[in-house]
Amino acid sequence: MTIDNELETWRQQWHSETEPLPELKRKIKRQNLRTVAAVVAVCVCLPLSTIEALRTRSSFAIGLASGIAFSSALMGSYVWWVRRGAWKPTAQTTLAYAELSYKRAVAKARSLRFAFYFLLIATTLFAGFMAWNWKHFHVRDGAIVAAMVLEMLLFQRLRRRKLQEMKETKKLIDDMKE
Amino acid sequence: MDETDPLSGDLVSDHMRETTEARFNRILHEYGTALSRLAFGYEKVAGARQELTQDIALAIWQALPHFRGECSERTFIYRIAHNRGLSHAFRRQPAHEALDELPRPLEPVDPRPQPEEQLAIASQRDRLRTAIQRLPLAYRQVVMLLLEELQHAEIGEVLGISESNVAVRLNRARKLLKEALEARS
Repeated sequence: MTIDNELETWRQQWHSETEPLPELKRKIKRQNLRTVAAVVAVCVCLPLSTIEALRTRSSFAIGLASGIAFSSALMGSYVWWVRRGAWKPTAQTTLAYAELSYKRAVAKARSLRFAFYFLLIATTLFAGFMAWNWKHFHVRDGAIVAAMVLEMLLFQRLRRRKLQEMKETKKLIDDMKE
Repeated sequence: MDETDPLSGDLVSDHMRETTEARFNRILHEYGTALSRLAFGYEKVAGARQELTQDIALAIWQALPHFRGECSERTFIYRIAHNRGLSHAFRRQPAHEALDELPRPLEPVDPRPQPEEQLAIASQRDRLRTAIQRLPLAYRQVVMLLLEELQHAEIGEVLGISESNVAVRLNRARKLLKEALEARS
């Protein structure tokens, strides 16, 4: 059996020194704490807000209770969706994972583009309404438009990043398949 | 129900939990340094690299209960580590890519005799790591797995490519790596 000296040298160098290991369980502990905190928050806020809404019957309390219930249901569905195996590292090879990452990046870029144009239309309409109703202009309205414009810029930036991610992922997939 | 009944629901779940934790601890003990080395291939900045190593550990912890032995444990661990590394590489800020050299420790890591020899070893190691970091991702992965002493078949299993494809890719990767090392020496 021939010994591959070059490979053995590289292996020795590769294994020669490793930097001190970080506290590997720190993120796990943090993640567990977050999960517990979320469950406790839902268990406390949901019944309290419902009781308050039933007791006072005010539109604010009903709105708050509905909002909390809706958010909890949304959050629960998301957690269930993630856990049911949208990404299963056990079942995914790196190639399959890269393909999945590409699909995700495409979907994310599309939704960011949609959000950008949706916000553009909303901002235009809102600004138009402000111009038409300029006599009742309030600083708050200006602040809302400014916030919407800032959000649009943020969406554009995120989309550019996603497009870059798509490019890199596509390159890797092509390299792996060649 | 008999409290000592091993089939009691609570006891079984406790037992399962304990087993998963014990297994996870063993995995960290066995593969911790390997995961840290793999993180070198995906991140040059020390702080971000430590974050990545922790992310990999978290991903393993989350995936461990779903592991049903469809592949070897080693394949499973490296698969997760590389997938997490890929996510990191795809989302990395461009600023991280600008750094050319690995950060060097301020003090000698190993104060054994013959410091010149130690220095030479450290320098060769850094050169190798830097050269690996500069390889295209598809080549970088096969090289790192080869250096971790995985067989071609195992590398193929981790990456999802055929054994012959692994061999071809390794040939090209080794050629590129050799050229990079020679250019830097």
